[in-house]
Amino acid sequence: MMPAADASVQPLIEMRKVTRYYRRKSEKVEVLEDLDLAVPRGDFLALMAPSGKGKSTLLNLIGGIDRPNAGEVIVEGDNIGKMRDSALADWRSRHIGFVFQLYHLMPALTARQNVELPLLLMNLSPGERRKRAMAALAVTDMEDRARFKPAELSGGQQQRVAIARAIVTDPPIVLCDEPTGDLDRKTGDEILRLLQTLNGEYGKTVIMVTHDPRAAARAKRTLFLNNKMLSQEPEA
Amino acid sequence: MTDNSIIFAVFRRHKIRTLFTVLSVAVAFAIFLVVAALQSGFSGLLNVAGSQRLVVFGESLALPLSYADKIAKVPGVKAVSYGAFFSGFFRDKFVGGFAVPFPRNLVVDPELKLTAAETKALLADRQAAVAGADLASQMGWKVGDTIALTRGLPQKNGSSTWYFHLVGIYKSDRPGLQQDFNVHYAYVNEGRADLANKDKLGNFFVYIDDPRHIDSVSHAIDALFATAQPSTTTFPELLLAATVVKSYGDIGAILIAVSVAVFFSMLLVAGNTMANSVRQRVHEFALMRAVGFSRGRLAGLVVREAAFVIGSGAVVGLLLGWQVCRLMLPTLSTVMPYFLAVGWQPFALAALLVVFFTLLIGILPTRRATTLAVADTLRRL
Repeated sequence: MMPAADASVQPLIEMRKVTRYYRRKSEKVEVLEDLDLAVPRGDFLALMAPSGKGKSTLLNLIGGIDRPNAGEVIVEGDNIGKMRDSALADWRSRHIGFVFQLYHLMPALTARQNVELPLLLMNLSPGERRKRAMAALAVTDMEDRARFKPAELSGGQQQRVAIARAIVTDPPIVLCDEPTGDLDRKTGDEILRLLQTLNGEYGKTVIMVTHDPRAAARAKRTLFLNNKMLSQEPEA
Repeated sequence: MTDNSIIFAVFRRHKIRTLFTVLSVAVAFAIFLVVAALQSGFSGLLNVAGSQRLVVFGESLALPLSYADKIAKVPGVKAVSYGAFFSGFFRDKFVGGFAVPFPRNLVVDPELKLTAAETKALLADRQAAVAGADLASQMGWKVGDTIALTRGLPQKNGSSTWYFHLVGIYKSDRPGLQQDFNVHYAYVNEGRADLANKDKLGNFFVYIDDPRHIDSVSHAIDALFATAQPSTTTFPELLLAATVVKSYGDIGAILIAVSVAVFFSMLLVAGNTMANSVRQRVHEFALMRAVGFSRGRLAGLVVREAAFVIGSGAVVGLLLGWQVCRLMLPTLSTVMPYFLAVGWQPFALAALLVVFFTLLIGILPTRRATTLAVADTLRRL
């Protein structure tokens, strides 16, 4: 069965019979098996599962930083599993914004420069890049910290910068891997509100991996990864 | 912001590490240039002597001036010159030079290049002198100056101060000549007080018509004075230079070995630094891959980072080496006229070395940065 919000709408993201396994020495560790998923444009989907069950793998497959062993991952009509590496990198820059649990900001760069990073791949003037980076920082309410280095920012502020970086190229999809996992409850709530704003006001399709039910409750819907497959109910 | 901004931001974040890496590269290139200058000095010795010049020594140090006319009559001899060392002090600064017979010395020593006007003035005045451009610059001399050299040879008139009229300042392809001060032998010879050394010389310089006649002319000169007192021994000047070079040859080989060893150490230091730098930033490279940087673009970043380190180190090192050579020049130019006459070749070789070492120290970090598993790397911390 393919969990979808509305079967009549052409999905933005579609996974068909996706299998992903890893090899550890001679052992084959299967993480996802014949998994199907459809995510419509404008969705805010929470993916839940206990640690080590394949949530991040699923997110990475959608984001094109991992490839399935079998099956298809189709995003906006592109079968990204079949793309060549360079084409896939280019595709990621235009379609996906990543938000990670540990922010992954570059410590040598300022907040603005971190946000500007994905814009280096676009044919923009330095002035335009700077303008767009500042606009993205304004969305995440970090404009006044543009000159700060990551080490000078709190965890919540760093995550706001990371979110600004994720949306600066105006991608249709924002993928969040435990975005509040390293934050206290209050700051985590602020980040979740920001993600809701991106989804509600800016029309981003947000997929968030989390093991926190409170975080998942902020999404429009939640799917559970049980026994390498997705379901609408948590594992019993 | 540009790709280069990222590289320089990393350098700024690790200032000390970057500084020491650049310095290690700089030292290697500085030593490289000094070795190149020394080698230029050694090989220049062979060229400077020329293949058409012979040097005539006497059994005793002093050869009689009268030998000059006899040598000039030997078949194959084109011109004969001679030189007597002459020195003094100009305002407490030592000046060393040669008393030579003009104009014949201009034939034997074509590296001493004068203009027609300078030559005319030189030949018209027994007290005339010409100086190399470097010496004139050091002493603050200009054409038309009267130069008083004190504490020179005692003169017949009781004075030891010699006056010369500077009629020419020359530049020469032979750098050592630029430190020389040349005066008329006749003027010094006639003015000197010690009559015992009058008309006596250290050696003769013989310019022959054809380099192939070197052996026959040498033998003919020595045969001419075989029964005279003193008898002579004639060498090709090239052989003299070759002997000098040979005595320095082992040192040259050692210097080259040191240079190679220093480059190897530099390679280890810079290579290790680059490898560590990339290893510590694998998450950053994984992040860049995730946001859309291609492998090629990342490779470009890493190689450029290596190029900045090696390139800036090379520039600093070559400038440093040049300064060191300039400090050594006054001491070495007397024995190695071509020291520091390095031309463009060492710099071209240095540029090639920059490319070579950039690729060598960049290759492994580049591989690491471009082949990392993006998802796995971002998950690990």
